[in-house]
Amino acid sequence: MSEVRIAGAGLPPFGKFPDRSVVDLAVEAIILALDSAGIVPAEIDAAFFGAAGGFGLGQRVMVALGCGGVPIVNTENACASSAAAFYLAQLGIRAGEFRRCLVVGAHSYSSNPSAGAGALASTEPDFATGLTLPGLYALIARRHMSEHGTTPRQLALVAVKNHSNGALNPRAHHRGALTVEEVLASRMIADPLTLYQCCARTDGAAALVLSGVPGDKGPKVRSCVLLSGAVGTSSGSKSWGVDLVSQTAGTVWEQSSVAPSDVDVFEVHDAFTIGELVSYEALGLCDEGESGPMVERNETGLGGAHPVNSSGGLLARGHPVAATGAAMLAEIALQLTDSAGPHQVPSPRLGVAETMGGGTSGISGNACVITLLERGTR
Amino acid sequence: VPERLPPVAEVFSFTKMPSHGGHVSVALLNAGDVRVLASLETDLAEMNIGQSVRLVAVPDPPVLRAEPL
Repeated sequence: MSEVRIAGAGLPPFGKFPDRSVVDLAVEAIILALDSAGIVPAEIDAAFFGAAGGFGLGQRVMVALGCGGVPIVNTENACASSAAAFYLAQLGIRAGEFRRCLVVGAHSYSSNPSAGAGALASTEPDFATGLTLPGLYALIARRHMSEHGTTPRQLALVAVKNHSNGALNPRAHHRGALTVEEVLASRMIADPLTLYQCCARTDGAAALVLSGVPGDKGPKVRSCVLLSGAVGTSSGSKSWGVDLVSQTAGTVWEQSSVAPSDVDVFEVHDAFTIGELVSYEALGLCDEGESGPMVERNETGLGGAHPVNSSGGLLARGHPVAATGAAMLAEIALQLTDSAGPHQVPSPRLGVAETMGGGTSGISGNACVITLLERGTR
Repeated sequence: VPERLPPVAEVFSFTKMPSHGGHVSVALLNAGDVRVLASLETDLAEMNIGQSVRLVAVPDPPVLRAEPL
């Protein structure tokens, strides 16, 4: 099987771009990724797109690029759409089917406000109760607070940390620092989660060039695992999705013989503050119930032992749903090539991107994708 | 209430969210060996994780409602 590397990453700034189409956003990211890899579009064998809303995003983007005649695949897995596209592309290269693939995620709430996260689809059985995605995470938060003594301040510290990181990141949507008091005093969205504990509806795109060509350089894909949740929800002690992230992470650690404590930089799915805390536990960065004290000790801050969401994460860099997985992977690739910018972690060797897609009733997660990357020669 | 569900369930978690100009509350419940979501018309201050609630089927919209015992 071929070794897979990220030969190029394109991650333009996220924000609100009402005058730009999702195709424009994707093309900018792809040009950056191709330039970073030092290749031209003709050297791409296949293109995998994460898309949410509308038909044929990948085809429209490739037409705009003037690049046809290669397989184009559009994937939709909610927040994990472009992470799932990455998963498929690296499988294709490992299988020897492709030499180089593009992986792209692009999303524009400004031009398509109804696409993506925010509320559950009206066809979902849980929709009838009025449950929203912030509400789903609020249920996890309240349970965690009751079971483990996690405090509102500890939840708020996740937002404070990530906005502090985002303030350093020129690609972040929200670049203002926040205090614990500001986070807790912001409008209640789903009790106990306040506005600043919820990700923004951001426009953006990210692109990666994956390569199995000997001699191509860049971070190596050590492991990439995609799992979907079990059908039906049993009444165990775990909240929604936690077991799925834990199982996916366990497979990554087993495949790679790497321990979570060996990893130097993480991007995790902080669509809501509690999402980051339970990710620490599910990834094995700390024991169950210890994530609140961990963030309070700033162990996951930029100068901590295990920096998490150095980019600002979904809370501050932003969450263009279909672009998020590719953006997390691009961020880790930039970190592993010392190219991240002012929020660079000092010389990381290993990095992990964890993306979780949800929003479907009766399953404990549409898909969780966890990828372990290792610094390569460059 | 569907036959597979017991009439009484245990509160796993609950929340309150803005909805259409007002607010809605929901509770996640352990009902026998499955977990179900139910609407809640009780003040959250009166709810506790682990407490028992009665399950009531509401026809329109078709949801379960959790009522304190």
